[in-house]
Amino acid sequence: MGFTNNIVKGMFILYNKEPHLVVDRVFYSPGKGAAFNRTRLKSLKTGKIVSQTFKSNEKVEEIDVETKTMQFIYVDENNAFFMDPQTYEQISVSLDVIDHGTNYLHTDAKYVTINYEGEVLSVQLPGKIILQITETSDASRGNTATNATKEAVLETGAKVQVPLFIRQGEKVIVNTESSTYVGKAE
Amino acid sequence: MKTWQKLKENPELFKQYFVKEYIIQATREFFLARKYHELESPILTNALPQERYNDPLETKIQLKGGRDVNAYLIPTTETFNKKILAAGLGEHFVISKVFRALEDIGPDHSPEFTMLEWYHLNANYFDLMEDCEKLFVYSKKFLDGKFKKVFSTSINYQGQKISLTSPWKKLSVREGLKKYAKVELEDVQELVKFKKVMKEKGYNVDENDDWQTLFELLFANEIETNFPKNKPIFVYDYPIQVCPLTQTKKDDPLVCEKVELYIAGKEIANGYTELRDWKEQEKRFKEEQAARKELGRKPVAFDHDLVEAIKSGLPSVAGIGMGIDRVAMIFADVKNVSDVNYFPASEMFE
Repeated sequence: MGFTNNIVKGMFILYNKEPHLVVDRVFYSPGKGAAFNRTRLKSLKTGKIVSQTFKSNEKVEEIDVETKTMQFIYVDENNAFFMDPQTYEQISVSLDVIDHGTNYLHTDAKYVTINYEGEVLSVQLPGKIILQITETSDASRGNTATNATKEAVLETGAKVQVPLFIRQGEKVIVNTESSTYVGKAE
Repeated sequence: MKTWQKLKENPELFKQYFVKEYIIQATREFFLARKYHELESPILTNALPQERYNDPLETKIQLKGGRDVNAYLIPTTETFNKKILAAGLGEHFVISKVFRALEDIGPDHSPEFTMLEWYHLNANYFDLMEDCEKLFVYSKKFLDGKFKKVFSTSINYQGQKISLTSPWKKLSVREGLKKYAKVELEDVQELVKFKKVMKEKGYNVDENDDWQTLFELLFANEIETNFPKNKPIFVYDYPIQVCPLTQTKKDDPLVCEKVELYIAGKEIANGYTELRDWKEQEKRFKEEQAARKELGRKPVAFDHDLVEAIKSGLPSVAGIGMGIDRVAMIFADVKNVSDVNYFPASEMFE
């Protein structure tokens, strides 16, 4: 734990005595006051995002977090369950603190939990994930526009726009941050 | 992938970039119909208005005989607007690239951006607010025409409907401070008291913080966060401490006749009833110059010519600068300033 005046995106800090993740940071100099960092902070307890502006030289308390690679096992109504592949220890994490809820949870993918003082604060999704398409229309014929897309439902229930040539049952790569189609999985 | 490559792959994308082009066309039409002149501003200048927190981009020009002279890339066209007003050009507008040196390249920021400035004679900052409302509706009509859409006075920005119907919201800084921050402007005039108030609110205050910094911190965290999402808002009557080029309000010596326009949480425009008292102007520039020195900031060349122009007589005028890239972002419904420019700074410098 320590103090820093170098707030960066992805850093974990104590703000209002609660752990927060810096999800966004923009340095700006409005010409009417010194320079500032405009940030968006995500509470790791509640998942709520707040906007906060700091002076650019302002010290914030950075916290030490521990990360662990975990395997996703299953979900119930409110929680996702993960297992430590080394110790087989199981943990549950509230779906509220997982981006996109259950949309990108799959047993084949790897997840990183962020732990602070023995508690899981958040779960980092893999940047890209391979998922099977369970539902999409057969709209490939007739439409020749190069950029046309259609909606597809993935095996997790998430919906993404995919190119027309993609068929039901195929596996696709999806960017979990932007929820967009990246390509067809081999 | 660079923007030009994306466009080549998907020509449909061009539409999004045409928004800025159309806004510039609409703006020209709007002001030419009002018989405004269009001024072409220099981009390079030898001197600047003194502002304590201004970070100009500097460059050098080599003159005959190998003599180097310093030049700045303009942060605003304002000085040229005022000089030409003093000369007698009258009402005019300018659309120019302007530059800032010390900011991140971010969703709302780029080191170079397109600024529209206009100068309305025999007007004050309230007239500028009316101009803004009319210009936006005019531009919306123009864009809807270009995109073959039915004209509507509302914009959809990132899933939020924003109504452009007059009148837009108005909030004085005094009201904002009182309503949202529970602070009376009178009570925080002295820096010591302001620091005390900010400390009590839980801010990290240190001895180097000046009045302007505390004000911006309070404004950004407690006032700006309350702005309506469904309507543009004019914030006006700023504390005199933050406006060195603005006329003080007649019946309220603590504030000046300055207005800022915010739409969708973005600062879009900044205007004021221009200060015409050359002595006052010179005094404020000297104060700002001294403040720069005290803050350890690099000095910038003093624009004596501007003081001279004001001294020669400036007509009664209100002037405003509007960030055209941000306006385009809102009309194009995109999150990032790089999505309205074919050659965004982020693709070159990051």
